[in-house]
Amino acid sequence: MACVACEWTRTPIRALAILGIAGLIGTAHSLRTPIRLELKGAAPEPSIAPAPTGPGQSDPASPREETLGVRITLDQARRLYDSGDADFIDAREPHEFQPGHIPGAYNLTQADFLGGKTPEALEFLDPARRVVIYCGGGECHASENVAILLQQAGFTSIHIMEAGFPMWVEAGYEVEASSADEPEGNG
Amino acid sequence: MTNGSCCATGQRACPAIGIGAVALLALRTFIGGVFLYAAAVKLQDPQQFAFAIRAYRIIPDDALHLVTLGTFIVPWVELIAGALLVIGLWGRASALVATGLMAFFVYAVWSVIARDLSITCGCFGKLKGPFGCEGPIGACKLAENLTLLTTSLLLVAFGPGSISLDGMCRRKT
Repeated sequence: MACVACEWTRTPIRALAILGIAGLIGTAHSLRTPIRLELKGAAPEPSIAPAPTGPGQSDPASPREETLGVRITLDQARRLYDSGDADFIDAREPHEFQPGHIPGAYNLTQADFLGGKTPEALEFLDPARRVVIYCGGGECHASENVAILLQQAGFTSIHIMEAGFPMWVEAGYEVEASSADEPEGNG
Repeated sequence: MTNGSCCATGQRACPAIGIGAVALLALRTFIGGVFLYAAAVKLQDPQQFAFAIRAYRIIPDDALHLVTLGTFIVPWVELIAGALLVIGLWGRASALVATGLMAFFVYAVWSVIARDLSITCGCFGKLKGPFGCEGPIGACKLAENLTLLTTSLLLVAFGPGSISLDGMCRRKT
C-alpha cells in the first residue's frame, strides 16, 4: 500500500517537472523564433505626393494626395478602388467569399500560408503595389493576420479597410460572386 | 494471458497483461498520438498558432507577450506529455498534465461557443482532429475535447497499465 501512496505523491511533482521542462524549452524557443502579432508601420504613413496629371494640375479626389495610414476608412478604400491604384484582398473564408465580395478581389486567408507555403494568389499580386485587405468587419483579426503575412512576404504598402465587407455592402457598392472553382477572384 | 518473461520468475506481484492493460495502452497511444500530432503542427508554423490563440480573445490585446509564450509553451507541453504517454513513462503524471491542458481547451472552446465567435480551432492545422470536426468551433469540437479530457482522466485514475515503461520498472523492482 505504501507504493500506492508513493505513486500519488510523485505524480504531481512529476507533472510539475513536465510543465517546468516544457516551459523552459518553450521560452527558449520563443526567444529564437520571431513571430509577429502586430503590423509594422501601424502609425499613419507620411503624405504621399500627388501623381502629376499635368502642369499645375492635380485631381483633388485622388487618394494619392491623402495621408493613408495602415487602417483606412470605407471612403478611402472606395477611392483607391475607383482609382485602380490598389489590389483588393478578401481575407474571409472561401465559403464567405464565394457568395459575394468586392469585384476583382482575391481571396487570401491566413490558412493559405499554413506551413510557410506561398499562396498561389501571390503570383498575381505585385508587392510594390498598394494592397487593401478586408474581412468581416467588427473585431475580425483576419485582415490584420493576412497583412502581417503579406508584410513578411515583402509587400510594403498595405492597408486594412476596417469597416469590412458588410459596410461595403451597406454603402450600396458593387459586389460580385464567384463559383467554388474560382476562389482567387479575377483581379 | 500473462507476461511470460516476468511470471516465469515466479514473482507474486507479477501484473497480468489482460484486457485492462491493453485498453490502457490503446487509450495512452490514442491521446499521446493526438498530442504529438497537434504539437508537430503547431511547432511547424508558430505564426499561425499565435494567430489562432489571439482569435480566442481570452488573452487581452495589451498582453501579446502572453500569446507569444503560449504559442511556444503549449506545443512543448503537448510534445513532452504526448511522448511520455505513448511510451508509458511517468504515465500518471503525463496524463495529469494532459488533463489540465484538455480542461483548459474545453474551457476555451466553451467560451468561444458562449460568446458566439466564429473562429476555427487552430488545433491541427488544415487537417481535422480525431472527430473530423470541420468549420468554425462548435458542438463537435466541444465533444472532441470532452472525449480527450475523459480519456486523460481515465489514465490519471488507472495509470498507464502494465504494458508501459512504468509497468516494466515496477516489475523489475
